[in-house]
Amino acid sequence: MAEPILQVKNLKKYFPLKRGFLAGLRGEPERYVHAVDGVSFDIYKQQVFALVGESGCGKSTTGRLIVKLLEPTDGKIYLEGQDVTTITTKEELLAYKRKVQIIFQDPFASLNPRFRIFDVLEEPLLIHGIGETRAEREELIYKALEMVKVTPPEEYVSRFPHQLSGGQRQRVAIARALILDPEFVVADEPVSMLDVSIRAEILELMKELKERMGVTYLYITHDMSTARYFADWMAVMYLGRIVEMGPAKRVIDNPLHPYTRALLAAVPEPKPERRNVIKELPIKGEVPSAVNIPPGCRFHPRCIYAQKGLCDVKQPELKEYEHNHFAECHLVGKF
Amino acid sequence: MRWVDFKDSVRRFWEDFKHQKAGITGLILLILLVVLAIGAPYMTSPDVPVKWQTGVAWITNPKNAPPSWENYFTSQTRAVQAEYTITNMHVQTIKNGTYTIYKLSLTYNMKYDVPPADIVVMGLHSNATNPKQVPQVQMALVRPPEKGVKDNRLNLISQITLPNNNAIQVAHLDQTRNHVLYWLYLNGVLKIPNVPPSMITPDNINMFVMTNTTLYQMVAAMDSMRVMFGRLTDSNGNPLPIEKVISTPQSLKGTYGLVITITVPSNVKVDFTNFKVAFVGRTYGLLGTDQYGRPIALGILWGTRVALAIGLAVAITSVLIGILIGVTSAYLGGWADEAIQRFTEFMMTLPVLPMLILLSLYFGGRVNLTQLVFFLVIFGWMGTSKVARSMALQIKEQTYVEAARALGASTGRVVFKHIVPQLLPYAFASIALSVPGAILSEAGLSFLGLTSQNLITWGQMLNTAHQNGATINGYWWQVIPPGLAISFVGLVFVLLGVSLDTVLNPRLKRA
Amino acid sequence: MTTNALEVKNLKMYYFTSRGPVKAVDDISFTLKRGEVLGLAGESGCGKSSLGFTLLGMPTPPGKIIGGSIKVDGREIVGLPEDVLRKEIRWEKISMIFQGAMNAMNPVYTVGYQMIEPLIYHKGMDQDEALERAQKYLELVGLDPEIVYRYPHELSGGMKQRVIIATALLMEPTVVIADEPTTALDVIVQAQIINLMKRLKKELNLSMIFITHDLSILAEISDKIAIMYAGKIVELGPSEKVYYEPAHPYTQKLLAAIPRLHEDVDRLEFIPGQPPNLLNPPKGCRFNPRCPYAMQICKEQEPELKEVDKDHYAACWLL
Repeated sequence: MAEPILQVKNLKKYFPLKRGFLAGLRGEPERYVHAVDGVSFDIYKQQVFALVGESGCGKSTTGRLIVKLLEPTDGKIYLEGQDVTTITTKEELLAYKRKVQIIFQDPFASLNPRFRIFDVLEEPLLIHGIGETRAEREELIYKALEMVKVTPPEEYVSRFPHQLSGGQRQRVAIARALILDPEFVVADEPVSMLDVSIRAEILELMKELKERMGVTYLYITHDMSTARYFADWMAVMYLGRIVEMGPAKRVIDNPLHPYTRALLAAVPEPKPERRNVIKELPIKGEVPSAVNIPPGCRFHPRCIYAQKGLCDVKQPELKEYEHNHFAECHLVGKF
Repeated sequence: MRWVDFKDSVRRFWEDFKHQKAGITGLILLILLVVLAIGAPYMTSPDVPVKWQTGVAWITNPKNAPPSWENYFTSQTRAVQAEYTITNMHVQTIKNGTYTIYKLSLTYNMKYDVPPADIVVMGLHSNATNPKQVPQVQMALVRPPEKGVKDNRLNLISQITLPNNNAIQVAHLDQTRNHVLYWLYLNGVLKIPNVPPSMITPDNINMFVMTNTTLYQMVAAMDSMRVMFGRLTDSNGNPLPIEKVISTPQSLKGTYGLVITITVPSNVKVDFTNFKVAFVGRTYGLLGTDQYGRPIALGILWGTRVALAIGLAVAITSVLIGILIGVTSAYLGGWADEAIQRFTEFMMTLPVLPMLILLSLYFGGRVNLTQLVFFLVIFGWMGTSKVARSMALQIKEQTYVEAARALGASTGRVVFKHIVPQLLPYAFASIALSVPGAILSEAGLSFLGLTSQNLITWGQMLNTAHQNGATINGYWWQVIPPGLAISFVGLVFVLLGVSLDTVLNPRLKRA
Repeated sequence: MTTNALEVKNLKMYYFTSRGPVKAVDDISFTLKRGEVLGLAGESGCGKSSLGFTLLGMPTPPGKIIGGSIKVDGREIVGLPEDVLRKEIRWEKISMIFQGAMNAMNPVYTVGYQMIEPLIYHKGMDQDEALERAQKYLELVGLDPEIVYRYPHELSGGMKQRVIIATALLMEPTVVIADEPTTALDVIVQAQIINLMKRLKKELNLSMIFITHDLSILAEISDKIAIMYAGKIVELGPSEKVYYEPAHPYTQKLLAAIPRLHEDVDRLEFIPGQPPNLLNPPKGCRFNPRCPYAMQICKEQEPELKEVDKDHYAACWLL
């Protein structure tokens, strides 16, 4: 396989908790939310890499670290082999942002309500100095709208976001990310706020654009079903770490980690014949806070297979158990 | 923001705003205020602020006179101010050898129970170079016929000089009083026994009066104006007793004539352009006068200029500064934010009025308009800054701001394209709502006599009234109009501000 | 024969806006038996939540019920005065789990206080009695009864949703309407809540109307499915029939749009266009502008619900 386009190595992001002034004087140690706690993965060109997990697992933080909306506490990010965590100059940062873009979850919030669609799409062009004249930029904006099938563009450019449907807004958001012709796009739950019928439409559009423009996606989602449909690769995150990673279909059909199993068991399916069966969910308790990470395997307090003296003491490592299929568990194959 | 967008948002704003009854009322009243403020020099005269400070400009006006419309509510009507210029007079020019005599006559309809307080003649200009050439003035009052009164003509002044820029205040002259006494004598009202009539002249009549103590005291307290416009006889034509005529005169209503004879050497030219004769009222105009004779209505009209200027200048500047500081604080975050916030709170805890008084005293005890605006801005930006900061913090966390930053937008772009436009609606409402505060502060300082006297402000009018003991003397027209004017401007801006807030603030709009 | 838990006939609820009436609930009829769960699905804006509020006798202003009947436990509630509805019907006969209610809890009151407040004020119940009842139902939904003394911020999302469910059950209503009860929750918690509702349905013989846009969740619990489109029910029938033999093109398209967890799908189907504006719905079948099979008649005449199979109805001219 070719060189990966994006590599993430041991990425960490800790957010300091605000402590009181007095606590600081008393010398109480500073406490951190371990949002991302040592994450590594490679993404290959024109593939879709899904980052799956529940809210608070650090998947969105990882996405924001990659687009440099946040600076990592530790670890490296490489784009096409180049370390981008050390970027300091404005020019380099702009060049990076042109290559790496993001699509947000909520199309209602991600467009400035006071901007017309034209202004929304003109903003990236103005920032990056693309298109000398307004006419040139207009041309590019019309093309971008046509690309995301918001047609005819003339009809939409002068509208405000609230005059568009949810699906149309998300298309505009996609157009804004893709108008710069990026190589890599972080899609942070791009369809989870949309209706089912529109969800499919947006996923199809993103798929089409992947082929047409050669973009690579990091698809952040909590929805295993769309991940299977859309992604080639999948990594499951729990409390800031990747607990399982591999080809999307392998992970879903043959999960190695107990957490992945629990997640998969919980996914609702449109099969009404099971409506009176109470589902078995192989998990207990609730997600602990990311401030106090449990020792050993961070999943052990919720794991129904956890072994005393092993799982609560020793932190497991992400190991390859099948070809390209990794898991972070002491007990793979033993339950 | 492009022009079309601006037009569009103004149009949409107007769609919402026109349903706000309070806002429309406020807007109409504001337009009225602005028209008054801008129109003041044209409606009156541009030199009013200069005249305001000089007492002589108001010499033809009564002092502490109530509004004329008070007559509708009292049993005794009191004379209203009446002024005549040369165009209202009949002029007769007589050349008499080396002298020229101008005979000016005018008619005055006296229909009041209380006659005018004075007759003032002023504004005569001549090119006389030595004192001997200065115009000589004679004056006589022609009364309406009265049964039993032989002589309708009453000389007021037999001779007096009128240099340029001087005025004759008839009621104040001994000459006048003596003429009035003489005339009373002629008509048999004033009796001087044991003296042959041929011995008595207007110039010495006072001497004979002095011999009678009772009479003398009566004459000393006499209001010559009331006597000369008063009745001398009863309905049968019999002379009234002297006490009645002098101490409790009854006015003789009817058409009076005033004849002014001006004598100058023929080589001297006289200019009547500014010549004026005033029958000084016992009441004055729309809102009366203060103790210097300045019309209250004029002060109220000119006061709008300062009030609006100070209110708007302070409100706009302090809101803009507040927003700038608030947004900067929010955007910088961390220690800079902490420091700015603590400083803001420090400023908020300062007692504003004492600080303003101290500052004014430090700057010479009389601050001018610019200094005043500056001080009020210093103590006026904090509230806006706090709100602007919290709004900016909220907007900063919006996904669309995150999206702009992901696109590589600079700080300036985020602040000026995404944050500030969202704050503008708040800014407009905030400006409108902080105008009354600024006007009140100005009024407070003016009332304490700490602002420059070159300004006509409502606060200073209240200060004048206070010094005049207006409340004790019952001069309500000196206190209530400026007070109401201040509240009225406050009300106008509150109406506007509240409606703007309702229209522009999406949270309130939904409710 | 026992009475049906809920009978709705020709129900119409319009929002009277300044631009004209919005026909959010337009001529809807269905029945709900005791112990049965009706799943109500449709895209956002199709009127499913409006229907929920209407069934409670409290359409959101400016909405008004303008016709039809709602019989809860055999008792007609359309036309009852507000105070009767509040005292005798709402919470006692029919209650609702509101969308987002778990995030609308007041942070300054204890959980217990918020649960029993309506009982004390509207039902005149004594505080201790109410609290006892609250604890009983908290236990039933799998929570520690001591939670009544806790504050909302001390609870996780799943726990809060359980509290909301317990609150809806307090007065032992015949029918519970659940409006998107799992939308804001994570997958595992969502599955736990669905499990809870399945258990309650069995243990309490509860009748439920489950409103969501997510057909996968609906399949997990519903005995009957109603598909709403633009204020109308376009298909109604037993779950198996609707999921495996959908009769209406809209239902077919919706089901084809769902990605499957254990199946490979080449291309997801989607429905082009947008749901119509209910101020001015299209003439004829409201789905006709987006329907791939639309015929001339679809544009002219509105189809009625037809029985295509036993208890399985659909409103489409193709049938």
